[in-house]
Amino acid sequence: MNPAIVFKNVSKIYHGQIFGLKEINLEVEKGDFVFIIGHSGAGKSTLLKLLYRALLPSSGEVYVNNMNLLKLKSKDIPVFRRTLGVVFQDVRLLPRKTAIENISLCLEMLGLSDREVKKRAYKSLELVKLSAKSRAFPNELSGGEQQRLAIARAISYYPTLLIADEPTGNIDLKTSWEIMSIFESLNRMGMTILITTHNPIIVSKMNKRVIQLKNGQVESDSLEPTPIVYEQI
Amino acid sequence: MSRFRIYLREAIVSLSRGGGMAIASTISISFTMIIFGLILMCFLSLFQASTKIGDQVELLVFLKDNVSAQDINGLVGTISNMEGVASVEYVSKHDAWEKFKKYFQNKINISDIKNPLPDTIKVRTKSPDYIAGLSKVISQFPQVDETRYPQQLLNTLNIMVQKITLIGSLLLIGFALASLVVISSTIKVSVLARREELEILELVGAEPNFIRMPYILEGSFIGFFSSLLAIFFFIFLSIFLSFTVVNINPPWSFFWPLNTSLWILMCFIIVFTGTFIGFLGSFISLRNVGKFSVTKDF
Repeated sequence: MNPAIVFKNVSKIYHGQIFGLKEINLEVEKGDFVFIIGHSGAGKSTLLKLLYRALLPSSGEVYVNNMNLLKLKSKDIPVFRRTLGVVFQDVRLLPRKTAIENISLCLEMLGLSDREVKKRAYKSLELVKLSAKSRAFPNELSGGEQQRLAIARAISYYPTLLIADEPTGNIDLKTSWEIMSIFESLNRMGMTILITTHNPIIVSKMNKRVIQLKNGQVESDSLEPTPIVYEQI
Repeated sequence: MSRFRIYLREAIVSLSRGGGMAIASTISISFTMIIFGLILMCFLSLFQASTKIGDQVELLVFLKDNVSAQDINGLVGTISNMEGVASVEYVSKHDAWEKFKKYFQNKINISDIKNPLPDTIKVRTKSPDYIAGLSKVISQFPQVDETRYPQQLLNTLNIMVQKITLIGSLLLIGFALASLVVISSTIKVSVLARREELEILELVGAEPNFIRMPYILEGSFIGFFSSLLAIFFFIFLSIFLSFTVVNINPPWSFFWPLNTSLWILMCFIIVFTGTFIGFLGSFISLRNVGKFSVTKDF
């Protein structure tokens, strides 16, 4: 097997005493669709931040696509981040750029031709059904549209691994399902998907692998896709 | 699209969408450039005045009696070709005496006096610095009796120019550094206002230069436009002063109190300094960008 993500005895301690994560061991195979669930402060966001190298573990090792993130040099971080698709908890769109510009600018970092940039940017918008709003600025989009734009930006790189931190956090259930269906179709295309969420309805109905965190530790890990009644969320 | 074109496009788009912040930065920096320009203008005016006095100074070459016209012509030709000589004028003893008589006609009785004046060559130099050297060389010629120039005045002028240059340069460098602090603070405010943008770019994998360069170019543009505003101020100031103080009519008044070349030099210095300080100010404000991607620990 060739795992996309490996956590080996990973702990993260803030300010020398507060545990963000405690001795985490887990593997996510390529092509998997995994939900990370847990209360606020359970360690979900910390886990994701370790994956896109916004944080370093206090101990243990994190591997993404066989790359040990501890050994990653500062100058290689941007290149590494461009191999991932990340949808941030607070969307994080460039406020003074239109929808299409938000995507194009990221693609231009790859050194693609103007034609390729345009093609990929419009294709990404089309995938999230946002083509009609390509010239809109983020503040002119609804919460759901902003979230879809963030997904479009994340997938425009054609990443093999997509990480989404609470992508349905502040949006209604109907829009949440729309977004989940986008993730599902991306997963069917072979993309490994890792999502943190608070939403028990989505988790139980999606019927995917669920890793539950509690106080920075893995409370449960349903390796087989199992419907889950999620009382604790 | 090449990286530089992307940086340039981003800087221009950012300026055009920057709205109030870009305008406020430009105006506040232009005030700094106006003060810088005023110091520069005073320095250049003093420099111009002292150079003008120096340029008026002549080297007088008194010739011996009975030097033939052919020798005089030869000497004038030789002096004209010497390094640093701007112009040479031969005044015969006859012409000099006629001029003298005309000047003192009604003041003293000189009708019985025999012409005591020698044939003279007046030498103007390209710079007062050449006078002493030329005097030394020319006085060695056999046709020359003696050479004279206002050595004391030249020494005083020399010291004055040196002092003006030193004090002016120190003032300008000091003020340029102060401007750098003001400008980098102004730019820092606008960078802080866009801190979120910088963080987003880092998170989506932009390299430090990709993040910094548009902002650095934007800072340079703001410095450039601020300098242009300052230059417009000086154009209006010069026109105003020429009408009210010196009463000269345009277009000659346009560059007052400086001459055309010094005006162009002043504009060039203001534009260069403004643009460079804008560039440096942004560079300093953004020096930490890209470093926090290493890892933020809480």
